[in-house]
Amino acid sequence: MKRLTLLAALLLPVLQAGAQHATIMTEELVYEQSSPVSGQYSVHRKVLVHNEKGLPTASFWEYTDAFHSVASFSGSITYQGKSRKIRKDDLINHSLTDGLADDAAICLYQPASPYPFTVEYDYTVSCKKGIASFPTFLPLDRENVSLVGASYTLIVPAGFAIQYFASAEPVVEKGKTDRYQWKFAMPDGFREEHLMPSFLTFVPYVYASPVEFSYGGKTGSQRNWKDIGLWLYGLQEGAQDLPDEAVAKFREMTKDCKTPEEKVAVLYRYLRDNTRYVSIQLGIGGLKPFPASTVYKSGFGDCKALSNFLRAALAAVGVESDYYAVSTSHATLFPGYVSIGQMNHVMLAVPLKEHRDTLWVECTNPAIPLGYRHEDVAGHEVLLVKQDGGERVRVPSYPDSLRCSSVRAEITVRADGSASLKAVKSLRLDRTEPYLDFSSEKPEDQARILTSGWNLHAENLRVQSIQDNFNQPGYRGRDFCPQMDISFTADVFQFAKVNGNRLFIPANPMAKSLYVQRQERVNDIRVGEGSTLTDTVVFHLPAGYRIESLPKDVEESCDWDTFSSRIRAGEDGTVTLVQTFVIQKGAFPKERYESYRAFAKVVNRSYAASIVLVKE
Amino acid sequence: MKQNVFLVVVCAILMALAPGTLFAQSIKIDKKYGNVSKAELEMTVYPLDTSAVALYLYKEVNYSVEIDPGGFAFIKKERERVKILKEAGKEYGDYEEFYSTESTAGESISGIKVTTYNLENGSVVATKMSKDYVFREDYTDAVKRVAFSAQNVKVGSVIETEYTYRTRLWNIDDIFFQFSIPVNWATAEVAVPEYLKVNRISRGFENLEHKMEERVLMNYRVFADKFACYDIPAIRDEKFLYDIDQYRLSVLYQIRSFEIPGIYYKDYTADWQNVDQMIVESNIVRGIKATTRFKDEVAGIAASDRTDEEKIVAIRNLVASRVTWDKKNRLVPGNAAEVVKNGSGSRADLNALTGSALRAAGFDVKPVMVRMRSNGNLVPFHVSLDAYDTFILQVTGPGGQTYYLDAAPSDGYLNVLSDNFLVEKARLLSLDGQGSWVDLRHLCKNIYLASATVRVDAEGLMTGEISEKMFNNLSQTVKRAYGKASDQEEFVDENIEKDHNLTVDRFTISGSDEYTPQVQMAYSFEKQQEVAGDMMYVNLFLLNFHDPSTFKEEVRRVPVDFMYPYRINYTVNMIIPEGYELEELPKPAAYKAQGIKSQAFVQFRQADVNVVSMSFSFVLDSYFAPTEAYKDVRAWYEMLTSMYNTTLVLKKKAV
Repeated sequence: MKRLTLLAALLLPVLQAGAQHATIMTEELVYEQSSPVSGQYSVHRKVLVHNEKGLPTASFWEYTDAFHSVASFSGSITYQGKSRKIRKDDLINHSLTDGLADDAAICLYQPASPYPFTVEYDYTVSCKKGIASFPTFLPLDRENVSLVGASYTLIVPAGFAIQYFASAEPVVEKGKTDRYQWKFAMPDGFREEHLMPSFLTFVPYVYASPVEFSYGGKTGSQRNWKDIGLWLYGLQEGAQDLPDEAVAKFREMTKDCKTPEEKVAVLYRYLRDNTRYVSIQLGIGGLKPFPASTVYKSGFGDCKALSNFLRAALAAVGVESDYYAVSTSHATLFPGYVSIGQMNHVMLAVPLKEHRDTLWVECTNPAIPLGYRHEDVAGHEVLLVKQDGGERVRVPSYPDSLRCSSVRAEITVRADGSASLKAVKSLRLDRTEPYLDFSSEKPEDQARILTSGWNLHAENLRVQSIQDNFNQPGYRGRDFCPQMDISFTADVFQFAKVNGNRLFIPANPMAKSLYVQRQERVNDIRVGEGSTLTDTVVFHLPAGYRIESLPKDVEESCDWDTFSSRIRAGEDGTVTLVQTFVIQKGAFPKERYESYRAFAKVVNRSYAASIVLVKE
Repeated sequence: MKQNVFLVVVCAILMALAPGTLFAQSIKIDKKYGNVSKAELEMTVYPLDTSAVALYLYKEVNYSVEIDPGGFAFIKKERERVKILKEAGKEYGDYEEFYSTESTAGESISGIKVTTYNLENGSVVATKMSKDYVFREDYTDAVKRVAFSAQNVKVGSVIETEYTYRTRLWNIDDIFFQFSIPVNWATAEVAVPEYLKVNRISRGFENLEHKMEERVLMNYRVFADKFACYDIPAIRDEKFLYDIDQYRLSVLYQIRSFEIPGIYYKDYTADWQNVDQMIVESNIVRGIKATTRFKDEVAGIAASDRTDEEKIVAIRNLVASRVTWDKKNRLVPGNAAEVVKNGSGSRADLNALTGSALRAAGFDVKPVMVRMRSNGNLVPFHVSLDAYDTFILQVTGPGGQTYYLDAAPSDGYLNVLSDNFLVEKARLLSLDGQGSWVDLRHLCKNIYLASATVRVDAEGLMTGEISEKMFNNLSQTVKRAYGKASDQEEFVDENIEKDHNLTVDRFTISGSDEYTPQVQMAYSFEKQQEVAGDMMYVNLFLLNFHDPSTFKEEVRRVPVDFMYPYRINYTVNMIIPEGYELEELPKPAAYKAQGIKSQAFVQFRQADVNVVSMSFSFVLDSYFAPTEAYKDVRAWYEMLTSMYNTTLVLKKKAV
């Protein structure tokens, strides 16, 4: 502690001189397990707040629910040497429910004082009725904050097996109790930048959990994924029953189906037409699905309930499937760390043995085309929950070449600068996801969505047709790619700039400029996914004008992007522009950002170019 | 087949609309609970708004007052029948309500009944919601939340709901008839015993029928207001709108008095003078009159040879250095000693502390009660203390100059109030209770001065220096943006480079962290202009004064609220690149908006053979544009965008 204080004293002038909004002087968390189903952790946290932007770091908050409660609390705010107390009564308790019911709440306090001030908290949280994971330790989670010192200590009974995934190794002491301690410091904090890797790459963290656990009265093991799968499977016991009338109905509905995938399609349609997503997270209900019979009766449920319901419905018609748990935020489960807490969503996997393939079914949004693996699960490691235990597999991803969108537009330009537009917006793969409910949007919202970011004011926008392959029957193959083409027309009253006897026509009114970070690069670069964007514009020019200038053709690239632009004048009074922008995923050293800067300059210039016509 | 059935159904419904029933609803229904017709279930689209995701077929609110041994209880019974037309409409099957758990409020929600109707095999099938799907939980320490969801909701379902809300608080909630989905038919009844007198006002643009009815209940009379409306279009929140509720079709009530003749009389509101007196007796005036907590420091400032303005600013800054604003407004200040000890307080606390300090320094200080724009205009009959949200100060110095001051925000200044406070009617009160209305909308001139000196090379790369100065409310807007950014780099990224499409270097800013009415920025920049062969096309509008995406939507059903009036003056001087000459100097142009007070003017000059300059001025002098003026506002912004695209043409000199 003395060493930390000295370090703080030495560093503080340096820290304050930078752009830091707050300094975490210390954060110490000590968790002690008192029994297999209970424990307590105490936290001591001290933050020096330099300015208003440091307030989020200085705020106190803890989640509470049926398993966690704030047992004790005290705090103080010190300004210019004078302190005042913060009492437990000053804390605000606020429900976090965003569904039908949820016992989660947040206990919070937001300090206020002239700056700079120091806030200090000492509190304990009781954990009861079961512990499947120990508190996560992430002392630094925002930029422009420095961390002088933090420590995380786990105290468990001697021989009590734990596992962890952390940014450093602990110091372990074994005796009457087993003690694991991690210490961290990050005096420079971290900076958020354009195209950067996950911030877990930079910040200190500890995720830890017991190997053998009990939660909500159910014991289990996290020794391996198979054991977790067994535990999760056990939660579904008794939840698969359906009323006889439901079974009869589903069999009747699928009686003409010849293949399992046809049956899935029929029941997936039933799911869409007859259920909706409503969240109920109470107690262990946060992990245990509602019975299928309840979903049948109520017509709603959360991801667990709806997935379990579809599984029961498929079982009733002879189709096997597996409930699976997934993290929608991390594609890869923490290596060597087996914990339920990593997953936040549940879906259904239907093996299609004949095709040696699996349908990965999203039950909370049946608008998603069957057979398509949406962007929050494609490529993710998941846990199949089977009767004989869990199986960790990876949901197949898609080649980046499928991820594309394009606009093909025909624009008739008039001498007064107005124009008529006829366009087709084509979307592929996850580019279709924001458009799944497009056909039911209001016309003004459709116009806004279609022309978002475009450099024109569209008037009288009319959607002519929406074509997609979402509901085609039959098995569509492992690489089934959802497609959508939206045709529309619009008028643009002020499209080309009229300047004397010239017309300046934006060569690509759909283009958006590339973002470039101004500051010197600190972190390496990570481009998460590749995609292709193509714009094709055919201009019909007004009579009485000739082309004075056309933008130059461009071929440019940097380490992860390529861009090409070609423009040609036709004999028939048309000018055709084709611009293609391709992003390739990958990881690159920070020095390569300079090449991106130069690239972006060229691309932005090309995007902003005009076709210049002059009166003959 | 389905389409034919739909057409028949729609025709049948529309034909039932007899001549003369001009204000009857388009979709005829039997409003009795449970009497949902097949036609309502067969409906697949609402003819008056084919994009609606759901439709209130019927909505009813009934207010009554019960008299029991505990006193008066206000009972609100709500009923609705909603048709689900599209997937996105299914959320209208989920409900939540809140009520106070304070014992004096005596609030409860009960009698929850929800039934979903579906057409199955040609028959109407009703599913009653099980009580298992009613959840009650503590939302905060003083508020409970009740949530419930209809069962078996599908596209095509009709859901009926009713419940009763009961309170001992003497209050009739605002009754709304217009929502984000259309309403086929809505009714309301507010029935109060003769002992209660109420004020009432209706708002909105649609037609609302009203009649009064007198009844006898037990041994007293009851007066009932009955309302009805039909075919009400959906309304939704938009940008440039402070408060949508004041434009929704609605009725507002206020309890004016309670009288049992010969026995008891209590007036809850009278006129503004009574409210003024309440303020005088409250901590608002007491706080301003109190002895200042900063006696010695204030005395030092008062004795200095600063100007009045400088003294006011110094005293404001003194208080702000000792007490941070906690971002809450509050109407009445708390205990000053506690606030100073805690080092943080509400807007009311800061203004009270600053007011008492200014008085100690010899200034005349009065509170100015304000209802913020985000809470809508003052309702004429809502004559009570809670018509206001908070207060600011009017300060008059020994020199006679008067200033308006809101001590809480650090991005304001004297006469520079937050845009949310720029209201037509605020209540100025002398400390002995003499009140009058003041207009806070024209306290300062908001000016944006920008200038640029630029040069272009033969490749069309424009470089140069830009200086921007913002005064008053404009400086406040910049300071807020600066405060939101995590650091200066992010501010420049988001507010300069992105907004104006420039590459910026050597950026400096002054005034961003100071209590001043201005902010100044200066920076170097580069921006590529177009070059094609012997021609170069240069745009001297380097700053995007108006976002091209503003007012892009064709249709807007609510008025436009502008933040504040302002003026822009922009000049730019460009050195023509060597070897090039100006082909033609654009003519000056002046433009005037329709529907709002706004104009713009641009002029070019060629001061020298190789120097071209442009000067641009813009004025907006309106706070408000009514709904019917939206097309003019939109056209004006399109015109401005077009003006900002004015291009100079340079060509290579003949050799």
